[in-house]
Amino acid sequence: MVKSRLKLAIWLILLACTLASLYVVLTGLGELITYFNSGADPASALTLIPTVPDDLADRLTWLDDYAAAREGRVLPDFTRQQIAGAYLHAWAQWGIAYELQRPYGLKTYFARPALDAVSSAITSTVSAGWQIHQSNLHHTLQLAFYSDNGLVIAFTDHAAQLVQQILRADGSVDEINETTSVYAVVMMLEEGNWRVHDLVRRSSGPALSVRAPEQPAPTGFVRVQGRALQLDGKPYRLAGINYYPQTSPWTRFWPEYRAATTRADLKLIRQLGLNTVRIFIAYTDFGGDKVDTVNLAKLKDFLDQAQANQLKVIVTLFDHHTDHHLSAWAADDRHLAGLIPAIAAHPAILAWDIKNEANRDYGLNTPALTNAWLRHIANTVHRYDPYHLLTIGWSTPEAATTLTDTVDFISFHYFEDSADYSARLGKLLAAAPDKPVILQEFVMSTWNSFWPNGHSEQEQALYYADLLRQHRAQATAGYLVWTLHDFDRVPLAEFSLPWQQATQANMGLIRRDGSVKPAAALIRPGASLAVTPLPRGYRFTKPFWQMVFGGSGVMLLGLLLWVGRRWLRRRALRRVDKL
Amino acid sequence: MSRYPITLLLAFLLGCAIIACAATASKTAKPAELPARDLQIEAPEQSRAGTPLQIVVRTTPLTATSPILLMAQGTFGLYPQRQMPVNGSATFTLPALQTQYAGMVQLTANDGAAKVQATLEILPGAPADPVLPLIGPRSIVADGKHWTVVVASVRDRFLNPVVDNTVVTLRVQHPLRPGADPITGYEIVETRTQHLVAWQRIYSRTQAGEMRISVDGGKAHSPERTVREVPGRPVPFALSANPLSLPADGRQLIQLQSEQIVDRFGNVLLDGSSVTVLAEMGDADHRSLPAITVDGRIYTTLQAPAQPGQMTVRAWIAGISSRPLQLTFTPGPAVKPIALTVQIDAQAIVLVAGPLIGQLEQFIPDGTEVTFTLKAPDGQAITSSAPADYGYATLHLHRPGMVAGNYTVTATVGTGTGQVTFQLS
Repeated sequence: MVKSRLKLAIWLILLACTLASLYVVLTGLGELITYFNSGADPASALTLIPTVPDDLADRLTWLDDYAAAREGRVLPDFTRQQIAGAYLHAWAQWGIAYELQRPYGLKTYFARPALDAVSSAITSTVSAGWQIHQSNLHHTLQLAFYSDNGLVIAFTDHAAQLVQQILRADGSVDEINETTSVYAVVMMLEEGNWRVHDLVRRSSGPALSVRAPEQPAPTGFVRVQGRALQLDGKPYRLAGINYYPQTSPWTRFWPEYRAATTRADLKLIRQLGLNTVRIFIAYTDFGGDKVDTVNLAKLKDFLDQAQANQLKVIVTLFDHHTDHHLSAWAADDRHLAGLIPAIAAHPAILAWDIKNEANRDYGLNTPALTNAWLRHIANTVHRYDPYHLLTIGWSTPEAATTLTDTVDFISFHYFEDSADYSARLGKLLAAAPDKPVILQEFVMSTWNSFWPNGHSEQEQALYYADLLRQHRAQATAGYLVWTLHDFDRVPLAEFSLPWQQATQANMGLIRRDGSVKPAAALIRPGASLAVTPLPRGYRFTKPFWQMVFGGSGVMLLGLLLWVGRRWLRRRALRRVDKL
Repeated sequence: MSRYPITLLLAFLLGCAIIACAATASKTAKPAELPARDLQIEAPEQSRAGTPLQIVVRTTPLTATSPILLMAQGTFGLYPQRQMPVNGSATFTLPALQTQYAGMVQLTANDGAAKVQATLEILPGAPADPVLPLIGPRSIVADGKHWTVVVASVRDRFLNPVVDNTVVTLRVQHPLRPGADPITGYEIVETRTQHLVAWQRIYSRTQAGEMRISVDGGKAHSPERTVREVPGRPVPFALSANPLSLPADGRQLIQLQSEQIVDRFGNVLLDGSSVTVLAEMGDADHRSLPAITVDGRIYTTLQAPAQPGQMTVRAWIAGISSRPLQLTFTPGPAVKPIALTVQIDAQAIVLVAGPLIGQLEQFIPDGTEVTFTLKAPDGQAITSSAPADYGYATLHLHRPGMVAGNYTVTATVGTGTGQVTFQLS
């Protein structure tokens, strides 16, 4: 009997090995076939290379020619494109040479004496132990002279937007320098290529002006008044919620956007007594540097519906976009150029939130680089939309003391112990005495399981009540809770582990079945924050502690049984010995 | 023996503690940096290119000890420097290498807490040799209407373009007619630099030749540059031919030439100008001959046509036509009936046409082509030719293969013709 079982086991192991081998072979073959059938489209071999790559072409604008230039030979469009391309390539190559720390490839785009000057500048800076990254963001050209023989051109670059990162090898310096300068430029056609021959910086200045215009904002736009917000002259105390639909949160929101869901959810938010919604524009989902018009239409629909429900919207930009290296700034500018003007006039927008939890990007970039990027984006957004407010969502009150001069109101998130809240908020308010401050995210997950640190819905309500009580007691401008729904799924790679997924999926005010959690009654402005306190020792009634106590009990019992049995056996042996 | 590992562990822990204490001590030993509340840059507003500069950054309070980063953003790049302030100031030196490029320099001082900016304008120096003018086009029509453009980039000794509005003088010597006073072709034009360059149109005059140009700005001079002033479109001209008449033999050549072709200012057309000679003889003949000018004239030859008649010849240059020239091609070369004889043997048939007589009762020129047309019994016609030789032309036919029957042979040369019939059995 035992032998036959052993044979069966061996057969089963062999079968399992065979199946595993088959799986590995088939998977490998599949990978191989996929590898050889992927890559560049063969038809692209015949695609002509454009004069200027798309990502460079958008960085240049021609103004009307100077009057004197119009008297001379007409500059044909094709030649104008060639000159613009060569000029942009020259700046790009300058940046590449800085990146490589040697005057690399400059001969193609610069001629003497400019070539010698650029090369010398790079060499001397590098030899002095400095490392510079440089990116040109935009140029605005105006033709001054085009020679009759078509070989010489002089123009003015009225706004050469340049950003540089200055670093020491030992990490002691990390400085970002963003400037807008006027350059006089002479280029010549040599051997079929336009090259920069002369360059003179005519004037210098910081990044383009950022502040809102003098005239008042249109009706229906929220404004700042001291530490408070105002809407059409009346105080606007912000009470809101961070929003994703229940079935399509985070990266699935815009691809699976449904107007009907938005309609129902915004109505629900309004019924909860809230006046503001915070949404997120995922950079990649919205097409990156080429904004997707389909998603843009969905965003407009969302804003229209918010307006219909008398809700204001905080639009969070650049969600899940964490690369702030200088070379990516121009693409970010194009993203804003495609997005902001299209909806800048929409009255439902309360503010632009430049970046969610921007301080978490410090590790992926550097604090100096991230802060400079935030400042740049804020300037760019203000240029396209001078009326709507600006904020940055910081992940802690301490981080929110950064760039207070750049934002119209300060936003921070709080997920820690409520006992520390008043003190930390007080420090933030003291650090920024002239800006409205809002609590942009606070949350407690109601996933209460055998995993440690679970919380019940009662605990969530207590935590929210405690935070809001402290928040109301100080000079703040409002709050937004995270989030409306418990989610079916969490499509984020950073929350891939089961306990992470479960925690993130149970943070809403509305359960999956549509019923309302107790905390939902607390977030309405002026709502009573009286919540029945939990009995002492309540935490030990939670599943985790039940598991700990139960497990400990079972183990203790087992130990006692084992010790008792051993004692009995020894006693019996001693009796036998005596006999 | 059993205590040995415990001793080692204790020694290790003690070592760790000592290292930790040393690290803490070294951290605490470093004096704390005190950032400035305020910074102030002392720098000249303007400076000449290539002059070393001292930039002083003062701190408030004087006791500030945070290192100060000074960034000088000039035309051709960013030059960072860093220094610790001493007694409330840090002195930075911009060496000549960094100040030799003209343009606005933005100075930014930053110690991490305070930041201040100032601007410094580096002015280019006086114009320095050489001025290198760029001129184009290098060839213009000498009609007083066409122009060339001189673009001059006047620079200082560091190759910076000089300041805008600098006076640049162009000196031009236009070509002169023989014997003319040089001053009549001398032109001085003043212009000013703008957008880093100076440019000026120089108009031609009416005498073709070489225009010489120099440019100077301040005390800087240029090498000489030349531009050709070339003749414009010609005025109508005449053609001549030698001889004016030839027999229409399809062989002989007439030498054609023009008078010297000039533009409206009397400038002789440049050698190598492209000419098209058109010769028309009604519907009979129509020819187009390419030619060029040499020494302002057209030289070409025209072959006599095979048909007699009047031929009109014109030459065209740049859309301008010469006056028409009439050529006469008389009948010929043979003008009288041609006698034809046939000699038949087993292998060959020999056709002899002659004598071939011209207008002066002379033999037609040797080599003149005589055309024989042989009409076979089946009606098929075969054409062949033979050259005249001392008044006779002979054609050999290969007899085998020729079918039996009556053959008709016609000989033609010029307007002369003859016919004969023979029979093959």
